[in-house]
Amino acid sequence: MISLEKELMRLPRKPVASDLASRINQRIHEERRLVSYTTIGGMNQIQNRQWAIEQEPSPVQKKQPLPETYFDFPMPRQISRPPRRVASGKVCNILWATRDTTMYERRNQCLLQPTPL
Amino acid sequence: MMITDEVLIYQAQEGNERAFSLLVERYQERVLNVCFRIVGNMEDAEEATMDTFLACYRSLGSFEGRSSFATWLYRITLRSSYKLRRKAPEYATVEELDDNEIQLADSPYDLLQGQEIRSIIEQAIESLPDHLKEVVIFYFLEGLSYQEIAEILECPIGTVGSRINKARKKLQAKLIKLNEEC
Repeated sequence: MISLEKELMRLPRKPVASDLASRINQRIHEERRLVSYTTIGGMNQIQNRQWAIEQEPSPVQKKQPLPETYFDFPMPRQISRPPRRVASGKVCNILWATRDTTMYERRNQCLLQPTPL
Repeated sequence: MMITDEVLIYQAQEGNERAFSLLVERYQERVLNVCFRIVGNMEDAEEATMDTFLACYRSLGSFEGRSSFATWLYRITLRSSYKLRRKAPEYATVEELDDNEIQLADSPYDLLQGQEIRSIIEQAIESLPDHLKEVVIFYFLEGLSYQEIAEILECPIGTVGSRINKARKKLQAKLIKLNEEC
């Protein structure tokens, strides 16, 4: 009678190739090198970015007047901001934001007139 | 004096490559044999072994020692083997036994019979579904306890027991068939 346990225990184990450990270590070494390259690459990216920022024109340089030829087209009508006559700036600002100057003036008149009790 | 796994793991976690190499040397045979039983051929088994140790190296920092290193490594081994097998679904059948692996039998008759029995058992193991094959590999071939297998497979001990019984019955049926033929 064949014993299952006995036969299973007698199953031969596969021998390990002599160079398997070195191949594994080689792959791990490559992995380490790849990781370090990535890190160096990352550092380079940061350094390049820093360099690019340094090369960008400063805000002062940016604000230099543009050449005259730039203003050949008619300038848009500039709306001057009306003086603040009311204590509550919030209302004014909201109205100003809508740019409805007529409404703003009407509102101002209302505020300037005494309110009947 | 043999350095314990814990010491080697600690040193490897600190970046000591030599310590990790020692762990590889210590466990490569066990990992390779498990991989071989899952993938079915030596070439893929070696590839799966390399994948296992690479995955182990990558996640060594997260190993906290809650289970034994062997248990943890076997878990990675299963994952790597199945992953490789998915890539190459038409994997080869279990290779023919090498000449140097059949030295246990005494007479030419025993030699032939032993070879035949082993071949049938190999085929029977291979024909088992994965969940039964796993327990056969770990219990009968690797000699692990129910507790250790339960930790590897992340299932209750009772499940391990029932799977071992099922696998035993299936394998026995194959051997009875063989006995009848002899």
